[in-house]
Amino acid sequence: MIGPTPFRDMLLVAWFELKEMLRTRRALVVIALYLLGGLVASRVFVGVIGRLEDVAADMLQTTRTATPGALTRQVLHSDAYREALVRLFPNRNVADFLLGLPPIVLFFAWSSLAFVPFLIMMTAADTVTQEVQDRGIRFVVIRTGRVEFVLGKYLGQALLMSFVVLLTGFVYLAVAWRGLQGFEFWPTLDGILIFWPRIVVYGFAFVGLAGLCAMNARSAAVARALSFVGLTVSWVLGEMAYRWSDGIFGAAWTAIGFLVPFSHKAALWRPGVAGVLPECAVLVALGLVYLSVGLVMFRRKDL
Amino acid sequence: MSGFCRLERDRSLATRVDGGGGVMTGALAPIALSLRGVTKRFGAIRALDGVDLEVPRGAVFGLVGPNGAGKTTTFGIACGYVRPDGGTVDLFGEGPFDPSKHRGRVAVLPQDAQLGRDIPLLDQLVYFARLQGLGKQEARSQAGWALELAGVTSRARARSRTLSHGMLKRVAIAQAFIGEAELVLLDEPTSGLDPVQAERIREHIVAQRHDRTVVVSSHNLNEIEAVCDHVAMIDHGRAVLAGTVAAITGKNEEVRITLAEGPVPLDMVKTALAGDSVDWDEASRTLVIRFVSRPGRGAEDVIGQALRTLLGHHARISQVVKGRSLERTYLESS
Repeated sequence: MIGPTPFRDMLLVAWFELKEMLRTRRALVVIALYLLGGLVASRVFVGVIGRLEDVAADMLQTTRTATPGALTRQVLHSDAYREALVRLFPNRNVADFLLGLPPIVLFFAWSSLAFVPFLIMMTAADTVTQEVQDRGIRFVVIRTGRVEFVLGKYLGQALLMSFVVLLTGFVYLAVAWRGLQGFEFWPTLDGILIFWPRIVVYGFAFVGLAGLCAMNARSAAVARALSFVGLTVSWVLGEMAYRWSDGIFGAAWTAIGFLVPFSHKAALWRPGVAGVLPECAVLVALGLVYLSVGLVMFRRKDL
Repeated sequence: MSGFCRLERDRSLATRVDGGGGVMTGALAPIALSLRGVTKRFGAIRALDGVDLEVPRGAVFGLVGPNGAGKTTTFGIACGYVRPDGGTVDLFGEGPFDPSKHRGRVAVLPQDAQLGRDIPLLDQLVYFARLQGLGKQEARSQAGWALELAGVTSRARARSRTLSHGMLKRVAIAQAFIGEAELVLLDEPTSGLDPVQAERIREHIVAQRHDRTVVVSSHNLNEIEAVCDHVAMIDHGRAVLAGTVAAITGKNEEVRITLAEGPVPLDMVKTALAGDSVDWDEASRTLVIRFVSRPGRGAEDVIGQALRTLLGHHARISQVVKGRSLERTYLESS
């Protein structure tokens, strides 16, 4: 049972974890690299659009535009593109939803869903193990329970991840603002804010996975290695479940796929809150289940 | 101010904070910590082999033993860091350590535990105090007090990694005195400190007597003898000797008087102390007087009688000691 005091402790640990991470050189470097990656990716995206438009302008023998985006905007709003996209997606609602979003938002969402698991494994994997290794945990677990400590630590990591993802969204927004012609500020901001909580929820499942793989490791280095092994295994299982769910052991592969966060990624592109809520609930539950399994072992561990 | 400081605690924390932030009431159990038949193995190594220990409430209790004897494991089990394989652990008559029951009531200086390297000292101490159940203001005030106690107030905003080993050790000790913990466990509190700092820590520990129970583990037997009123000796995972320091060192059973070169009126002393056992150790030129203490006749009375006789026969007194030193007792028992 979680009463008011354990909940308060969990929040205290989470807040302290967040502050500690923002002061730790390694975490800061990882976050800075992630943001830099977002900056480079968004600039590359703008550059690619520009080059595509130049090619199109040359083929049509029209004048090239100074800033990219105008032609793309025209294409995105064309009926032909709409029809092509609708055929690409089995669900027309999804196609309509995606068509209504600025392309930079789609790129932000796609890249974040692809790279957030790596960000989490790099920042969250050794958060508990490091404290066990340097015995700093002994100052804390004399004052609060191990469950509150672990949940607080990973809640702090989830908060950090959500902050970094939002910051990356603003980087994309700024780059698109400067680089794309006909940039629509409010629809882009709106799109980023639509995907931000989805990415955070998706990332939370990986925070749980990092906890499961790493919190009982012997050392911080082993924890980091195990978290990447866990991520790889999870990805492979997700791929196998996706490909073989119609095969002989289809039901088993479907069940395995359900337990892997990667399998729930596609559903996060659905429109509306109601459309993604069940998947988000599953992802949060997965994160908590992963953490709980890790905690069962951690509660019995000698510190 | 540099160094561990003698400070009067801010008594604003007159009530003890429990797990839920309430006030503890009711009769106090006479035993603060009890271990019965506690065993623990780490792989092939038997760290504890049936330790029995009772720490009376309000005592300053010393835990001594050689390296690997099981002192740190005993601390770890008392604090819930380490799970025992067998036996029972009991804190305040309420069962083994449980953070929901004992949060803020048990404090510890863990051996070799590191404070967060990149966090300012004040923030860490406030964090610890808040986790103990204190409110924001109280936590800040207690953290400030702890920094003052450790003599590092001017470094409150400094990150741990910029501080010396001695400073960090003092802060780690001070954090154990945040709040109103009833039981404080200090694992090697003076190791790695200069003599002045070590002495100040010893003074602070002695000042806690009767206010709270303090358990100190150390290799320094002179330190334990000077600071503690109870002691237990652990060897090979078992408590081989336990009791009050006075009883273990025979302070109320034995007097040793060392004489310088000159007359040795042994027969006169034997006559004066008829009924007591008087032996002469020629090698150390020491009179060993063993007596049975009773009301009206303690060690001081025996010393008085013996000295009067010796001085009356022109003996030259070099040293008078009550009982054996703890070190000698330890060496004899191990």
